[in-house]
Amino acid sequence: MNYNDFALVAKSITKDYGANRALDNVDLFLDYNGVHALLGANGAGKSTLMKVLAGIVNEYEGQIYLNGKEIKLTSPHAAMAHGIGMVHQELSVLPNITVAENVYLNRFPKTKLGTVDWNKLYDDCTKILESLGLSIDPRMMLGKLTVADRQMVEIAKVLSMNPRIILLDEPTSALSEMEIQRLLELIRTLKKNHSIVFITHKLDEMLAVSDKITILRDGKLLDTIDVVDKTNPSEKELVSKMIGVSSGDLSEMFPQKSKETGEVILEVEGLTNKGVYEDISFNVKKGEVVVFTGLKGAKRTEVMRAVFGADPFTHGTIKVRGEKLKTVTIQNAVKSGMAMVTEDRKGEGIVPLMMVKDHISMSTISESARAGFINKEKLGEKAKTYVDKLKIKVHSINDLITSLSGGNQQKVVLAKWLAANPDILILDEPTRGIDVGAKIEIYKLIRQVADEGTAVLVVTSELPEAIGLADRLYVMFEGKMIGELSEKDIDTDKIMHMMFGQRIGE
Amino acid sequence: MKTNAAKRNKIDIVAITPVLFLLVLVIFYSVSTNNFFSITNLINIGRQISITGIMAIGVTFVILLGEIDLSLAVILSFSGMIVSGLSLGRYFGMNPMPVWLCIIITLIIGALLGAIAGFANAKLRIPGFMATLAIMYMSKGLMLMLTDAQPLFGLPKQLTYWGSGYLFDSIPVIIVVFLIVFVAASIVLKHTVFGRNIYAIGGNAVAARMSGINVVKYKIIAFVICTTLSALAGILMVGRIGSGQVTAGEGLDMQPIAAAVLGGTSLMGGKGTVWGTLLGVLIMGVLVNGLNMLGAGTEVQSLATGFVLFAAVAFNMAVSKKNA
Repeated sequence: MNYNDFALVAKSITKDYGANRALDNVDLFLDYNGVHALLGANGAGKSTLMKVLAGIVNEYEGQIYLNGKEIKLTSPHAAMAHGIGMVHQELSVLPNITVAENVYLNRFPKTKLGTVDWNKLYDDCTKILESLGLSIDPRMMLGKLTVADRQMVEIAKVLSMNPRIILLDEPTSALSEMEIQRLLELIRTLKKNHSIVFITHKLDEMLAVSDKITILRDGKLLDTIDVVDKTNPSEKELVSKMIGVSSGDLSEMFPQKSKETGEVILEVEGLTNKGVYEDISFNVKKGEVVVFTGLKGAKRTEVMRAVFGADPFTHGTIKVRGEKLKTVTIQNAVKSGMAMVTEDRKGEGIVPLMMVKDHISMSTISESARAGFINKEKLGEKAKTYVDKLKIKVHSINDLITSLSGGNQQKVVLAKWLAANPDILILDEPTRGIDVGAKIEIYKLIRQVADEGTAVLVVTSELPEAIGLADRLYVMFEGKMIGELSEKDIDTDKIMHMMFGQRIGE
Repeated sequence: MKTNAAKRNKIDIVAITPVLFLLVLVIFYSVSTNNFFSITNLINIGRQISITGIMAIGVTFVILLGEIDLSLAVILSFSGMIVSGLSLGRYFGMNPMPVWLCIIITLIIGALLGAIAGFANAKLRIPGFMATLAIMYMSKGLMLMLTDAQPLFGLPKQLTYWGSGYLFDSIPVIIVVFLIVFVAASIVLKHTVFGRNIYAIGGNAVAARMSGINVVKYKIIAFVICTTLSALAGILMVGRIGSGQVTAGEGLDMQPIAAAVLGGTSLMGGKGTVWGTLLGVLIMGVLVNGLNMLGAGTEVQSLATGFVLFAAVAFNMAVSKKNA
């Protein structure tokens, strides 16, 4: 294959994060014009690949060729100099300065005296915005714009640098339907003379604008497909390629499900936080593993945080053992027997400067104390018990938490709550970013805890995990409860359709 | 395994370096001056550092949370004026009160100021820096309204005893109070649920909250401890200078914070000990005392303190960067 025929060729790209291989020998061939979509489940490596192209991830193996010449992408600045610009998923714009300043940040036009040439700045910005068909005042404070307009400004910023290649990482995730259509229209215009790499979780959008789709799974390249029209390839075909776990693999990874469950212990009715999620009702029984699945933006995490008292909500009731929680705070939730392992382990799970033993006793320290004074031996024994029980790999219980691998850190966070003997255990993406071996151990633990009578709620975006773990499954989409599937009704196809917002029977 | 051992060694370097530096200072001064290493001078140093030391221990609690208290010195002056005035019956036409009651009232007012700052910080999410700056100005205003900036002389002996009296005619009471505060604080931080939770909150307040720890309550208590100890320092100060002065705390705004940081307490929170703070206080006290003996003026003392502080913090940053 002649590399000159492509705007950009990424060859044999491999990227490791510690023991985790995020990208494994992946190739990508970008045509001179057109949209090339990247498809894959969470953790498949799409974002990592995009970050390599944007120069954000600058230590990787493999080669990148631009117009047939090999280049090194050492920084976002270097990528930009080669004409590669990235529109970020999280808006990287500054709210307290004007639109024009955001677009030309660090590249302001200057007058002869060396001061900022404000007139030219605003004129240039107006031109760029007009070329995008936008009527945004460049003098406006960026923070006053809607999320959609901010997204457009972010695109204007990248375009103002005259890139040949534009990387779009989930640009539609925060937009309404109408705004999405506007953005897709813009992409159709841009693709006439730009190469665009596009990540989205929404298959209909992908099929609407893409010319090619590259599918990644577990960091490996699976296939690159040409898009003929909106229905070819079909969404079903894409999904089966993207998930691609045969039933054989599942039964090996996941422990036997239990058929016996007790009475309802947690019941949530009509939980609403205006503008975020609405009318969410569900229940969990003793000894049951209930899975919440959905796409990004389904607001599952937000619901769980509200139930645990971490965030406020506007309407609805939470009943534990049939009794309504009057004031929902974390302390009351814990008192009623709840525990929650959050999605963001680094930000909300661990205290980097603390030792393993102190972590394990973080929620139950009073049990190892009398009149406020800690019994160090008791605390140490408890830590050892859980280190053994969860097979946490440590040198000693005095290790700093940060010296452990991600999987072991997660086990420590789990141990913290298991030590509290919870009746209701909420796990938000409990296996995110940890290796397969540790995942299997956590699956076993989840089942073990459920078999001991705890009600377990698992939020996961990984379909095989959802199917493998669930005794019962709820699917959410954009803040709404789409439906519930009992164990015998769980099936990949059904869940996929529900994840994209279709209710059963529609 | 090797990296673990190496990490432990590095942590030791951070802990041991201030001790070594203090030893070097002591040896240097002992050799280069006649009177440095004498009982009289060592007791003198103890008396000099006790007030800063008590405040530094208090502010260590707040710094461990990753916050700061800027009201220390004004609360010291304010408390001194309250306790003096009450004992003389100067305010609101009241009669002189018994000294023990004056002390209790003063400590309670100190605690209240901390509770307000803590509430503002923990519940209203005002940065500790701003909350305590506001408390500082309010306290100053109240103090000046109350006293017209006039000094108070002729204080009862039972009051000045705490700052200038002796136990068994030889041990200054002020040093004994300092040591009691030190021992109590180190026990609280190391061996109680409260102490461990302070470290957890300082290390990652979000994780602590998600673990069911009542972050608001603990933060308020930490601020209360800090300001109450500043009030105590104010009561001792009255004894040391023998009168109530609205300027008693001048120059002490930052010294306790500097001492805590010198002792290895991280301004980011979650890391530090009362032992470290004691070392920090000792280093600053010994440094200045020795320079005094060598005949150096306050300008040199100030310059030297600045250099030591700079070097110590740069060193701690370099080591913690390597560890990370």
